[in-house]
Amino acid sequence: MRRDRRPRRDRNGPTVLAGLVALGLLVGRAQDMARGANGLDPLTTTAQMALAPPAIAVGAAIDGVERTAEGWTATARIAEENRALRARLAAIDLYEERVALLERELAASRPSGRRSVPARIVGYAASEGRLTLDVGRRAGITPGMGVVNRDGLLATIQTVTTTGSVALTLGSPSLRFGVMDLSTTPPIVGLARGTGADETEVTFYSPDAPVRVGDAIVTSGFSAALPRGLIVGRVARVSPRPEFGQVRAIVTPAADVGASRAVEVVR
Amino acid sequence: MTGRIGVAFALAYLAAAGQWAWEARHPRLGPDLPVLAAILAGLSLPRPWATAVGWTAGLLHGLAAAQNAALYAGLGAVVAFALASFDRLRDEEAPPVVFVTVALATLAIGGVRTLLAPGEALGRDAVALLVAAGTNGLSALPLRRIVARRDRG
Repeated sequence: MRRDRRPRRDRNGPTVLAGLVALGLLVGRAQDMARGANGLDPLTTTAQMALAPPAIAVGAAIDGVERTAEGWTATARIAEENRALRARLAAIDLYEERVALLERELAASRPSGRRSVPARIVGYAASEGRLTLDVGRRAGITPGMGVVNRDGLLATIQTVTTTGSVALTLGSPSLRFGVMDLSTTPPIVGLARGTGADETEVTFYSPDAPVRVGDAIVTSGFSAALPRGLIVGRVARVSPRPEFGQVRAIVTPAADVGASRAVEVVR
Repeated sequence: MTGRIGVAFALAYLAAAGQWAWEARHPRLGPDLPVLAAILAGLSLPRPWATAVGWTAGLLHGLAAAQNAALYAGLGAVVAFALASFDRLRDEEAPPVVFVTVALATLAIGGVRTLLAPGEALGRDAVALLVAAGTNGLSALPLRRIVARRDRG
């Protein structure tokens, strides 16, 4: 037998609705007033505290379902991203090796314990390989000191006056200074001299000197004025001379005189 | 009846908590659990109690989400009151009326909410609102059938 459980139409329904709507308006008013003071009303705070436990549980369930669904649908995309990331990591390893090499070369160009005097090139005689600088004896400049820019050694001081000095560029045939090949282990030393062109010839006094094209050449520091480690350039050609017990290398200077106006004299 | 009322309030509490958790992750798309709680209350409780449950579900949601609690509470109460007012909705031959009533209530709630706090993509929000209206309406149908069969015993 069917039992009719439908409730009778009540007369209190509209009254309850009106009362609850009015109560809701009061709560809303309290909310607005609290917001106006940049805060939360006590009812909001209480409701958030009361709803937090089930909300946290539901949130964890939602996250789990979404992560599972994403795992099912994003497999191919993630695999592709992994391949791209592995390639990027390999490239980063190469870049880091290059950076480490550059940092070593940069450190070699800044001799520790040495001060430098800023100077400007005020004259350049290319045919004679001479630079004129605007610093002299008054600034503590003495013959033999190295003139450098950010790329490496440009010249060495030849003559000094009170307020100026003249330096010989690396290509000057009058210039002689000690160097070493930084790319060999241990570094081998040689003697550099200008060839008259924009090149420097380095003579290594060993027929078995393992000099190769591309080797980094720096000053050897065996002079009182020219410190160790100033970048000279890179080996462009190698010419073994077994009959003389030597290996000669042509070095392309790292520093470009034509691109330099502001330089430093290393004291 | 007392047990049924207690269960309805518990569902209202859980619906508000669940909606708060959902909206924290998907603020503009998803179900409207407090509305569903109000629908269930409207289909199964006497009108005063149904109205109170719908109001509670909406109020808790509005407070937890720090939204316009008065609006949410009022609409939850109206949805439950409207459904509880139609005796014939408890008759199994009235599914289209249930669907239309619930869908319209959802559109009203979502529409007012969008008007008060419009998002940047109104078109997308409108589509989401229509989807929610249809989903809620369809959800009400099995609820109505369950309640009607239980009432028939």
